[in-house]
Amino acid sequence: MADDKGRIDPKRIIPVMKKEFLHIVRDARSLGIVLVAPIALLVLYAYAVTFDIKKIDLGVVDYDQTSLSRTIIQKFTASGYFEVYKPTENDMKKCAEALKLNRIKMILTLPENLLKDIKKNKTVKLQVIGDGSDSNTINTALGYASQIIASISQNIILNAVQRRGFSTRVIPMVEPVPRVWYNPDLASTNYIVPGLSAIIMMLVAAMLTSLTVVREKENGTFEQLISTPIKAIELMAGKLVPYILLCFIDVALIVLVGIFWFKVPFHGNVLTLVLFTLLFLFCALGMGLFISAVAPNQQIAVVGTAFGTLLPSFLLSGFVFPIDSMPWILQAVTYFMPARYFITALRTIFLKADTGISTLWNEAFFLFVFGMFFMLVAAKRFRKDLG
Amino acid sequence: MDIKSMLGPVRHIIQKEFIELRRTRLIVFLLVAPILMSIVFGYVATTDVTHVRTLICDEDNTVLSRKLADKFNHTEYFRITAFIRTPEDIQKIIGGNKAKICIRIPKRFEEYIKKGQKSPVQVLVDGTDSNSAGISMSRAIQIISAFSNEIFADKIAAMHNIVGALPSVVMEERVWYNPELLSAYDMVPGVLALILAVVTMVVTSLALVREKESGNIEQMLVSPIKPWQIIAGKIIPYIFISFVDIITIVMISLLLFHITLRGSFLLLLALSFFVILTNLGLGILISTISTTQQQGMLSAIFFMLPQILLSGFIFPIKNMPEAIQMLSYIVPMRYYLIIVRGIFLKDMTFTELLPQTFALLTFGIIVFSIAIKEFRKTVE
Repeated sequence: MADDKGRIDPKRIIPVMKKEFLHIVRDARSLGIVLVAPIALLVLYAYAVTFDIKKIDLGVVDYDQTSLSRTIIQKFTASGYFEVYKPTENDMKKCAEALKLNRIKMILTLPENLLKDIKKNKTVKLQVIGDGSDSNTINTALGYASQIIASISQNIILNAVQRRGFSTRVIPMVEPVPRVWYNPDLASTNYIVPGLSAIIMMLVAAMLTSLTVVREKENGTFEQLISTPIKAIELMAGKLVPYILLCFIDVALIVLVGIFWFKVPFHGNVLTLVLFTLLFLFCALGMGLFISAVAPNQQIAVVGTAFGTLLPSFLLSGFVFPIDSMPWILQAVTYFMPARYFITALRTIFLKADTGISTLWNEAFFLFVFGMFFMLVAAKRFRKDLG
Repeated sequence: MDIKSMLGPVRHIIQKEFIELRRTRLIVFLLVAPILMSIVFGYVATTDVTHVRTLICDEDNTVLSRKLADKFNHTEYFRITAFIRTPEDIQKIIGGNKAKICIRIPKRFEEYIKKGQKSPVQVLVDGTDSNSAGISMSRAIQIISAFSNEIFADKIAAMHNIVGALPSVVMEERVWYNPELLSAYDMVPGVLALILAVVTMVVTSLALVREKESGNIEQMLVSPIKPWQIIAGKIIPYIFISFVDIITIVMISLLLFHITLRGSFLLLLALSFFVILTNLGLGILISTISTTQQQGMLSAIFFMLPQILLSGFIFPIKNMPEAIQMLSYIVPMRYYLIIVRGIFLKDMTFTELLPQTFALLTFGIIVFSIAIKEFRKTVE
């Protein structure tokens, strides 16, 4: 075993690289999965992930059966957010059962004497029961319901005021005027493409590299490597280059399909994109190598990367779950997730390049620091194993 | 051959697998992972969007405009992080990711209201994260509408003496099964489905491929051990670990998240067995089509990711396009999630869960028998 001094010799790197390439190319199915899966996932995510909550199944119990109660129900359906579930209409017991069995999400009850009480100038309560077992959907649904009921109430009041011969022009309103920047249609593909690039890179870079060295250890070929004059750094470089290439192909595939098929706008420049991809790759490969140096067998390496890199990048990077909404401890943890910086950078490069690019220095810096850290720790472990 | 001598080899393989699990410390992962995942999912995986960084641009600077701005201070959904009086910097602040949403109250806001006119308020959202943007936009609209309703009510109250009593409609809100609308209530039980998929499908498939890769299987086959004994010996440890994981997650739900288990614990365990069976079948299938652990791992992961997506664990199935909704019917996790959440939160009984049980049982039998058949084929 050569000591660490002396120069890095490409002659020793290239054979390792060749071997790793052969390993990848020979295993046609793994290669296929690595190249096809990102696209499959992108398509699936792009079509399936939508948080827009529409057509909520609504059970209706109308004890009043007047023109007013029917108008109220009609307002609910006309909003596009609710759909009346017919089989249990006007039967509270059946509605409750349907709520339990997930057939409906919400029950709206219109009390008896609704119209009469309104005519008597009373305040009428409309009961809305939501299924809390799906907390996110019902939270939104309750918001919609309260808006609809508030607007019904205002109409009733305005009508009453007018009917008594007063002008309603003196009654003020505040009108929200919403406008969306950078992604006017709120298309979900626009945020899935950057997020998915990060996840796929974690999968390919961290997981596959984590397996490479462990595999050698398991098969006993690692000992053979030790008896050669290769250096830790050369071994690492040789092992990494093929996966760097694979990752670049994957990212290119995702980005191209995103831009040309899903029409994700690309406002930034390719150079910044490549730069950040490299920085993130550096991190992901470092993490993979680190796990690889520590894990005794492939099973552990897989579980380790799944729970150590893949899931956290999915959960704590802001890909799906907004970081601002997490408890502060977990928010603090997100600062240690390279994926967090990469996703912020990608979203900025894609969608708000005009103002954002210059603000990305932080992201670049942290990615570099993490990458260095993992690489150094991994190299140290290797040196110990090799030496 | 009597039962004892038939089960003998199975016992030895089980012992070997446990020794292997202990030696590699994988067992620690498999037992600690559910605890970590429940905690992370319980606290993080809320698709609810709160504490959104908010920029207030108050060009009006009057009592009413400040009152409206203050509304955004008193809700957990928004957190005011910047406050400006002129609109020039809005683009810079949102573009630089310092705020996700801007509430712009234009000049003469109060004046319009006092005159009884429509007074516009702009809600500017950074749409890059389309999901949270959509949610926080409609929240902001709700807050502004509520403010509008208040002003409306004030005016009506002021007119009371002239106009007389007026009718109104109010909403009386009730939430069943999860009165405080905590997302941990549906997320933490859901973690069960995820953990079982990892333990039974991914890890089991790797355990089997490992034997293939190292050539152990051939050695076992020249011995009098039968293929079914290998499979049984290999999967029983993971069935055992699955049940330990289920109990762990139930304990965490009860003790840490204070979620009451309304239904029957025994029913939960019994029905979990069906999903374990299905997942094991998938795990064995993956192992038969994989020759290296790397292949096994990739196949298992890419089998699992769409399952998570299409199961309704995070993303509601009802909102997906028809075709994808159809696809979700062949995802076993979908049925199991209904079972877990149903038993946990809604006290659903066996009869009420019959359709889901039936679906899982069918999957289990089909997948498992194909898996055994394929496994025999590959080893023989």
